[in-house]
Amino acid sequence: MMHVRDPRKSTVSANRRLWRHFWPKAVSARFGISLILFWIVLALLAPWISPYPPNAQDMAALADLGPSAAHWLGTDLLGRDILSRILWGARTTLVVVPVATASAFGVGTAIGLASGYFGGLVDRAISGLSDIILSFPTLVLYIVLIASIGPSLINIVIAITLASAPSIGRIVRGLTLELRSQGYVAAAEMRGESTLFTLFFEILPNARGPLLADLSMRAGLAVVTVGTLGFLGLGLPPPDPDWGSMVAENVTMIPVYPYMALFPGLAMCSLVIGFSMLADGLEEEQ
Amino acid sequence: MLAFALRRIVQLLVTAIISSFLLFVVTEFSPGTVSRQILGPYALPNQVALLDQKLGLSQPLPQRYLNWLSILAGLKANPLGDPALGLDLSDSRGDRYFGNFGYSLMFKQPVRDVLREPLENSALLGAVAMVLIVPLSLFVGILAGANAGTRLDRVLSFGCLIVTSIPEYAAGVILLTIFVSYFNWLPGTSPLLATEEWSIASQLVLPVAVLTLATVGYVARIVRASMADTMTKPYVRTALLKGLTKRQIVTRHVIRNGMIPPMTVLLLQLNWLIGGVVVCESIFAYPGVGRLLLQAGLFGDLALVQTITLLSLAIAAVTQLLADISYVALNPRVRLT
Repeated sequence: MMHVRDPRKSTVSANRRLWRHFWPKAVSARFGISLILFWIVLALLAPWISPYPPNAQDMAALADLGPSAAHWLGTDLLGRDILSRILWGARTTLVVVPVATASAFGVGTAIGLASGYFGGLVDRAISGLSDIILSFPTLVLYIVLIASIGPSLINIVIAITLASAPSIGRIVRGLTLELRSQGYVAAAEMRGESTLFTLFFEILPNARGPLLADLSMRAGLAVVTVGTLGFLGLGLPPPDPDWGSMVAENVTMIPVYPYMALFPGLAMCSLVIGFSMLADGLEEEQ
Repeated sequence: MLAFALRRIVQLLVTAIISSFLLFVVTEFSPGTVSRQILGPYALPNQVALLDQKLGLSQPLPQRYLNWLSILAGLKANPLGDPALGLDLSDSRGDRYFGNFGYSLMFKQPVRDVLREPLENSALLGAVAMVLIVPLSLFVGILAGANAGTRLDRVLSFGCLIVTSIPEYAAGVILLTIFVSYFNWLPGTSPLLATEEWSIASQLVLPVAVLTLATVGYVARIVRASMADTMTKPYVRTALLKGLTKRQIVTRHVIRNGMIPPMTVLLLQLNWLIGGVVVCESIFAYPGVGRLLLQAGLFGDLALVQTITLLSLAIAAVTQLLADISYVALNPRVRLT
């Protein structure tokens, strides 16, 4: 009688344990993840909390473009509310970045596992090709690729995958080489598990620590890339807002109306800083 | 050592051939072909096909790549320069010479003439930035690494993390807001033409600052990590126990050993700098190669895009080679296999 456990209580504590497992311990990582979550929440809520539609022009605001009670962060030269555009721009960034990072990680992990596990000719072919792709300066590679295949969501994802999968592959290859001599890998092989099982259920989970930190760093880099491409005019086509192109549209206005480019620029900085701090904290926890 | 360098050079040549082929394939993918661009969007398909035939563009890809290489090496004349086509493209160097990169369709000039001045401008920007980046990142990195774990280290490391996270164009916007919009101390654009108000030197300040900010934090963090790692080595403890001061230990032992990995990273930063240069030049309307590459990419000027990319590849490859060789030269423990 006395030792009957309250089932509600135990699920609560189990949840708390789960929560603690995922909630990083380093202060910088906690701060980073909070910043990222902040932007994710704003992006999700954008249709409800943004004061104006992102492309609506307020003719009344054209007389006074600066920040005011009606437009907290002011409007751009076309009378579009900057705050609303930043909120909607967060959606663009936070859709492209996870897709691109996931795709780069998928490809990078696959080639890294293959070249580390099989070695020999497979390894040499993959490593050789990776070296060649890595010998291009990244931004030059992006410009050449996007200029050739055209700017669109899928092409940006392809470009980011091509440019970052080789270096992810390199890291995974190193980890795989280290892990394949472990006892549990030999055990799995001896049990007659398939190669795919060994790769994805024995080796990969044990390499997750360093990969998580790298994942966070790559996501930060992808934010920078998406912004930079937008800034250079290689991003998603207008008029839908994205932070990089907002900066590009208004950069010539800086001497007169600095806030138009400054606020989207600062939004971008805060999101990248979030990812870098998360990466830094995760690396510290290793 | 010599054998090692030679083997690396051969590897480099193989990489150069494969990567230039890849570059050729990717750029040939672009939607507008050269003939389509010359004739304009309203040309009939058979006109385009005719010009393709004349320019040798209807041949299979490997054949075209070989043609491109032979034009580059001066073995073949560039078909675009043929007066019979009436394109009004001519090259003062003749139609066959080594290093013929073809004609830029955007400027209607040989690529070499188009590139000369932007190359000088970008080299100036990069060189001034490097002169600042190297000492600054070494100073910050050594200071933080030699005092690893202290408050000074934490402040410097955090500062580096923040600075590294700021994208170049955002850094440009922030600096522009402060120094141009608010204080009006510096010019907002850098066309490198001296005006009454702004000298050329003042136009260089902000582009150099953006490049430096984008690179310093990253390099300093690597220097710091290497220094902090070296500080835990047994010989540092020995030096401490035999009574050397911390300053002596750091300057005599730690810096010399801790600088080996960052040296190669510093060289490889050139690669990163090239990307930074593109963004930086676009922000400040700086007349350099980076902005030219972007314009050429958006215009679809294949010859110009290919040439600039080849150049950046060459720079990247040579710095990689130098980094490898210097790593071996600096670190006698590395075995040459």
